[in-house]
Amino acid sequence: MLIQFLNIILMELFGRVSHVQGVVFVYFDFWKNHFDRAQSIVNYTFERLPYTVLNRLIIYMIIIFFIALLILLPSILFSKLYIAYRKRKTALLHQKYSRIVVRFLINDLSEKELTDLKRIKSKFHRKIMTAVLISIDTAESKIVSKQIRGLYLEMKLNEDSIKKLRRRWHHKIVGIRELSHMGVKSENKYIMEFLQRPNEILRIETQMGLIKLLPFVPFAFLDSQEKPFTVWEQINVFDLIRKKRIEIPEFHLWLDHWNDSVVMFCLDMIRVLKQKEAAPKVLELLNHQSDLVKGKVIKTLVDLESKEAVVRLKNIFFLEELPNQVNIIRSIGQLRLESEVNFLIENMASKEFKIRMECCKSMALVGDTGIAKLKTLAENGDEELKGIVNHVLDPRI
Amino acid sequence: MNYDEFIRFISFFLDRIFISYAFLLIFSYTVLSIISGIALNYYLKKNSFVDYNVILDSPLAPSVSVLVPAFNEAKTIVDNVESIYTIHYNNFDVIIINDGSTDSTFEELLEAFKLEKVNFAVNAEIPTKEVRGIYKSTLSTYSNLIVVDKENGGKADALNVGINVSNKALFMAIDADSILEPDAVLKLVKPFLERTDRRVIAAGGVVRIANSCVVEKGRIAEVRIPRNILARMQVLEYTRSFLMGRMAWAKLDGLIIISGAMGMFEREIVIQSGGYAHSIGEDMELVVRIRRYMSENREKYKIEYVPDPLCWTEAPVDLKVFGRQRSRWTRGTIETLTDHSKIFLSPRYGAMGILGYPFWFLFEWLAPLVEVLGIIYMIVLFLTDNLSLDFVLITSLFVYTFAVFFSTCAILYEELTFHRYERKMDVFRLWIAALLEPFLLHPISLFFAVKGNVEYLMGNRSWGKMERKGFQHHKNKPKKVDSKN
Repeated sequence: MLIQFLNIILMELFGRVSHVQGVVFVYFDFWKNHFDRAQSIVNYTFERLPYTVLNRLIIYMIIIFFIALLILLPSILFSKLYIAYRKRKTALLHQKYSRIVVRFLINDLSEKELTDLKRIKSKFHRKIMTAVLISIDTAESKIVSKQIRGLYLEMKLNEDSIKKLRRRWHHKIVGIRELSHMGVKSENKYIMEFLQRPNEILRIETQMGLIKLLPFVPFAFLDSQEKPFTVWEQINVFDLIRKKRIEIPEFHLWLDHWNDSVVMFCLDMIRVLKQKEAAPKVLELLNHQSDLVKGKVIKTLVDLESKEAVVRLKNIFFLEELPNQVNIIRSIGQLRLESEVNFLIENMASKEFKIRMECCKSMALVGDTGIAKLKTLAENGDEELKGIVNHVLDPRI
Repeated sequence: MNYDEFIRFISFFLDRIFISYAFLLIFSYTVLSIISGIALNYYLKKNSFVDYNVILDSPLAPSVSVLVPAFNEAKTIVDNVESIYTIHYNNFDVIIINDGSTDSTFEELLEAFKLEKVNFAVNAEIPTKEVRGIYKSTLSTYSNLIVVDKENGGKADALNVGINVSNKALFMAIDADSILEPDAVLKLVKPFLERTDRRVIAAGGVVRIANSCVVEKGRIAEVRIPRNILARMQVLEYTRSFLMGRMAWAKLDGLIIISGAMGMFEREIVIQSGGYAHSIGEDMELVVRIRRYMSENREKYKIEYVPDPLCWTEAPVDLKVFGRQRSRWTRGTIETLTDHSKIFLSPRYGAMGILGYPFWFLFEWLAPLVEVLGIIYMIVLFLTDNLSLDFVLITSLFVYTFAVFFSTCAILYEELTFHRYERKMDVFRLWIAALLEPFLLHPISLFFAVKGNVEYLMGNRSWGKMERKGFQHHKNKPKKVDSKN
């Protein structure tokens, strides 16, 4: 029935071209024969086997797996060829458009070529053109950037980028990247909505995009940061700060943020960027309820070389968990506070290996007095202490 | 009830048990492969926006210790340590633990890296065998290399010593014969950086087979399909397991194994849960135990899985060695499952208790046993003249087409995701291996899995000698991993 129907359609379509029709019929006959043969095998199998649901089910599943295999194998080969073709084509087009853009930058492009360039309709070509413009715009020259941005807008590639914002998350990211790179601010409000999306990649790209798009308030997104601000996000933001010469804010402004991850990020930034004026505000956080935040506070105070903090740290020492205690002891060594040697000696009697090790390390850092005391203590100390002192005083470790 | 009726009565039930088991198994694998496909698709899209290099010079990146237990690895140890130094990461140290080797492993290290004994004080947070000495390299290139010489105590004991010696936040345990991808540490560290309210306690990656690949200066320079058929079929097995199985389990939060060849863990959690156990399946046992520890302490956690090929290892091409490996894997699985039987179907342990453990119990431990019982059952039916040969034929064809279909899906996944086998003929070669695998590798694996069960019952808990052909690293001219394979 189906074959007959197809025959009629083919007759209608190719009626006037008899040889094409012949070829098509041969082709269909070939498959029809195979189909009939397969059907007779199935029928034969059904006849031989008792008629049960199970037997039928097994045979149907064999047929399904077999057909799936027939589809899968060419798909694998096709995907392999297609991926290679796409890669080759992308590379060729990238090369072609790179040359054109370079010629445009040195005003070597004729009016006609420029008009043709602006008329590119193919989505694939426009996509590559955008990628080329972004990749060429790595130079620090403002004039080049302005020219590239001009071409991007003239070609209306910004419209493609804006359209991407309305599509699925991975297209949104590409859109944000393109718009933020070209400094197109018309969609800022819409982009800001992505800050609260559960998709962490989209969130990161939104943060990075907004840092570039809002040069006067690049970290405004921190104010409304509801989701945990992961270390991965922090690393990306920090990388952007370094590479793009973005105006660095005073991070102590967010130290009272209700989101602990934002507070921890700011503490890290204060520490790494040595924002010493933030020390008093950091000190206030010593009573923070989160041990993780407290750990970062101690680390930050030490790196800011805040000697006045040590007194406060010593006061809370016995109330703290082991990691924070270790950090407090480490701070004495890093600040080379000779006045605290007795505090270190007291804590060397601790049962905790880590505390003893850190006390010895800090003693050694204090200077000659500390080292001399260490040697004396080791002579009279237990085997573990002797081992630790030897470890600390071994310059090869 | 006469004899024939009795046989028919019994076979009525047994037929249904075996068929239901087979359908359940096929259904589970199909569901897992669909979940894997979805998860892989998401991962690839997500990864296309990631620049791992931002971790490299970030002051916020965590510190990592690379732990390498070595026992009688004299032939390859120096090349392997050099290979580890090709990884891209800044804040790391390498700790080689010579587990009382009886060959010249330690001497080779001593000579090659100009080692010097140091007064290293070890905080023995996990009890281990005696440490004879700790050495550091005097060469500035290897200033972060630590070599521990200790009494023989097995792989788990060696790793525990490494954990004690390390003072980093994370550690990565690898096999001495593994070849790491340069970005392996970066990719494994990333999940720990993405921690939100759930603490990431471990991350595993994909291990690939390096037989016949071209190795240059400690790196895989060209990926090739193994020429040896046994190794080639193991490529399929690994692809199915790592790309289609573990990816799905990680998505379902039911992953209970991270390959011993390469995995990254949070050091503090491993110490708190007692370190590696002296077990033959120490990799799986550790994952189950740290998961139990977190669940029992009501802490939110997750175990992440990175589907990128991060590590390359040599697959056994010798039947004896292959058999020892498979038997050991079976014994390791049984030991872990029996030691942690408490989690079976327990909602307290989340997806691990409800899904992961039952799956491993039913389809990893019991599958070979059920298969052998099925064969015995068929023989009995044949002898009692109750067997329909037509039925046997169609069920065998059914199982075979599913096996080939499943392997073909694995090849498709590989092609659509990482397509590391670039030569066009490689796909054909893999597919031919998929056609042959049910006749060649499967019966052998089945035999050794059953052997593993028997050995476990007999009380065999030994590791077994693993002979390796070794990688041929040539500094100037690239060479294949194993010229004979």
